[in-house]
Amino acid sequence: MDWDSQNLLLTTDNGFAAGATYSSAYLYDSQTSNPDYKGMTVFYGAQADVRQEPMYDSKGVPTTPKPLPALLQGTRMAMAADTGIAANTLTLNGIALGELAAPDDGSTLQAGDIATWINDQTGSVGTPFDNAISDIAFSPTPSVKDFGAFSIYVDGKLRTVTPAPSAANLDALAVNLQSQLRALDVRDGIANATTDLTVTVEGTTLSVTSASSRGISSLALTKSVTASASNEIRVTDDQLKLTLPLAINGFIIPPEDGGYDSKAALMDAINGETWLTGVTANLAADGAMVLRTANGENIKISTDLTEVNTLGNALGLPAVTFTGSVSLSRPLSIDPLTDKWDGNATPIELGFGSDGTPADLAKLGFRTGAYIKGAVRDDLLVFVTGAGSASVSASYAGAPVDAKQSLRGQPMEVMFSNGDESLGEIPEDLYYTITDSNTTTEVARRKFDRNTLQPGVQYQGLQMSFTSAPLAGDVFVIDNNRDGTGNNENMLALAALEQKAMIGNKTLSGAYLDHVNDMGNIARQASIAKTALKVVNDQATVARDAIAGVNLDQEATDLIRFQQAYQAAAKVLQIAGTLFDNVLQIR
Amino acid sequence: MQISTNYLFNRATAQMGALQSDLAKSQAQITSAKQVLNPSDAPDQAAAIARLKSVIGRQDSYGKAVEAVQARLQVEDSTLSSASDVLMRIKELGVQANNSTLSSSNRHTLGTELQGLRDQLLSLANSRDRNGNFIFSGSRVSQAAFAVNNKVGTEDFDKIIYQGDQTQMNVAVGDQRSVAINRPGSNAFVRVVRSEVDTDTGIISYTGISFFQSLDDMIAAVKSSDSDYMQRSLGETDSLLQGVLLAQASVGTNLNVLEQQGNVLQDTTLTLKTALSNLEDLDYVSAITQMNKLMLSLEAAQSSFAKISQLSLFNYLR
Repeated sequence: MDWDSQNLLLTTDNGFAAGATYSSAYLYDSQTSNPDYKGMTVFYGAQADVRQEPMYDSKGVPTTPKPLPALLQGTRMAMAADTGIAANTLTLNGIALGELAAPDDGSTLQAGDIATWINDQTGSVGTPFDNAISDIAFSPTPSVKDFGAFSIYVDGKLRTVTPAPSAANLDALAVNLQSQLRALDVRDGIANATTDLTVTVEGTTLSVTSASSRGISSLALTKSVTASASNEIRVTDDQLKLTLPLAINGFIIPPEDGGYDSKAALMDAINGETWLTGVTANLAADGAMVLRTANGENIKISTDLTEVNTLGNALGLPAVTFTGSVSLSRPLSIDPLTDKWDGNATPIELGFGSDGTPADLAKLGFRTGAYIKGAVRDDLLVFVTGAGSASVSASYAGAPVDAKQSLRGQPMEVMFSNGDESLGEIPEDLYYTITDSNTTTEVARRKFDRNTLQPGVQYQGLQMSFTSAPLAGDVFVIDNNRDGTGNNENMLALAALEQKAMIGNKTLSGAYLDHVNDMGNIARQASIAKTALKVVNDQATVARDAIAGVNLDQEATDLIRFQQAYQAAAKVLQIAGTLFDNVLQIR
Repeated sequence: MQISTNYLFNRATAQMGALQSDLAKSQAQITSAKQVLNPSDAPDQAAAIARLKSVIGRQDSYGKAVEAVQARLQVEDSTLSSASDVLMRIKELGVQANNSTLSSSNRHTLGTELQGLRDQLLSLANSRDRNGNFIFSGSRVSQAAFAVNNKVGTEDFDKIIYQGDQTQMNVAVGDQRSVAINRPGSNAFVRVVRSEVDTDTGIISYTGISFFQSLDDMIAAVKSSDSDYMQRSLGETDSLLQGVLLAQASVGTNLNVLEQQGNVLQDTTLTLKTALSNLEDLDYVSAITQMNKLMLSLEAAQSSFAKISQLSLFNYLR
């Protein structure tokens, strides 16, 4: 940066402390090879990393997220007519992308052209399913960051392994592939598994050989980054104006003067002209109409061939050409033994070559950003320079670092001294120097203002306030107190758990009491229900017994009645017998 | 309606069974002296009872914390009061040594006594509490507070430095109340600021002198009969004494606070226990009355059943 820019940027309004100085040794310079400022790697360009889809169990509690392949999705392209992309403008995962010429007929480059251009360059080598290929020649030597998956048939069995993204060159790649193939052999119990398959590199040729002469064929390396183009226009029902005409890509959708009977009729008409326009119409899940092209070609909406649009068109869309968008995807790195993601990061990094600017990425529909992975160990100020207008936003993921814990890793010394005349300071003024004890480098030198209400020192997360102003010669050492074994802060935090909302938003005892309460209520309801149902049961029994039951006294009475009836009948028989005997005795 | 004999017997059995189970519950209440045996007996009160019990438990643990902190603060109090006594004796000796009528050998004797007192102060500063922790080390409780610096090459090599840290440890003694349990050694055995005027340029420069450094300088001055330095040391001893007395005062304040907190806890516990007893404890008068009533009902049921069940027509048939 030149002096003018520096003066514009280093003001107190921008957050710099008054009287602060800075060290150019600490600055990150993308042009030099000093990428690791305080252990942070900054990527400048468009980046997408492995996505983590949050997964929840049946109770809504988050579980391990599911990894999804990295996907860099662009917005609609904004290329001007008759322009191409120069060489040295863009790089993809470190591979410099070559030139893309402007179309011969002066039209604009479309999303499909960009996708083809990228696919041609992210070197795929080897054709799968070709027999008897056991070696691959690279020309030119591709960047090893580029390989997606490596597949090979050994004795008729397909092995797919993902090369480690950390391999720095072809030799390291060969070593990594070899170890993964051998591990797969060990898993399958092949004889001499740890020495059988060998992957070697000679010049730019990679070969796989088997010591026991197993059949090796169809060696293939698939691309890592694949580009695809798409173009979709969503039209909701309230946008449609079915009385008006419509022309897509210069072809009129019949009938000529418009007037479609229904949305379905409009869609049928559009689909009838697909062979001319290349645009299909479908219904999305929410009922909106979606116009698509097969390979991201532009869709031009208008009303007639002369492209004059006065009242509007049947789709209610502005009469413009809708360009497509490019999306890049990179498959996950899979551990061949477990068939699951092995945890390696496989990002897509679309960066700048020596001549590239964010405007070039914007033409392709990608937003430029500065991406920092991992913890940010310092306050950052981001300055955006250039002509024209820009919209800038910042975001972070994860929880902010606990300032106290991060300070513990940076012991510091604050030393107060009088002004140093050799630095142009007034000797009567009090200055303080903050030194990083790990590296004994001076990180800040500032003037101490005694006249503020509460004089203090503020540096990153640290704030020191003094009841009486310090004098020259005072030294304060701030370090991470590893010997503080008597410190009871953890114990206090543990005791404070009692009041903390741990289960949903209830404390432990609160949740327990709610359970007790619930149990009590349920038991009480059960016993009330039991009493009520018992009454019902009793009355049912009474009713049944009233009909089917028996009273002993009644039965006893009946018994006596039948007994007497029987006796009477028996007596009748006895008399009848006596009478008959008497008759027989008459001579 | 027709009463079946079956119904007669079943109903009598059911009623006697119900009475017996009520009686059993009443007896269980009386033996356990509690009104609410299961949460289902009174669900609303069961939750309140459990909550009250947990709050009472918490007050008990605060009470124990108060006792523990009191023990620790009393150790500090007695140590600091001994230290202030020693410092007063040192001051007396200092004044005595400053008397110009003494000879150098007398001063030498005084210097020896001063050395012994200074060693006693060092051991007081490194005293431990009943758990074996050094009380003036801040949170570095396994190291002595003041010890000889044996890091070669540092400024204070071979001198006594403060090895502890400045952490203030707090203990919760009430729901919203916490008390600092320690005083860092550098706040009790304070440093003094010595100003030196550079005779050539007239600029005043200040250096910080640690507690024991100041005492050692005093002893050296007395032994070598250097009157300027002795004068200076007297002034510094005043500051040292002031520091110790201030620390002792803060310990005393904390002890007062703890006593009041103890009273507050006792009152709170009493209130809570009364509330708990109202909810949970059994009223014996009504319980025993209830039990008698149930026993009477049961006896009546049993004897009436015995009489009625014997009535049968079969008794009168030959």
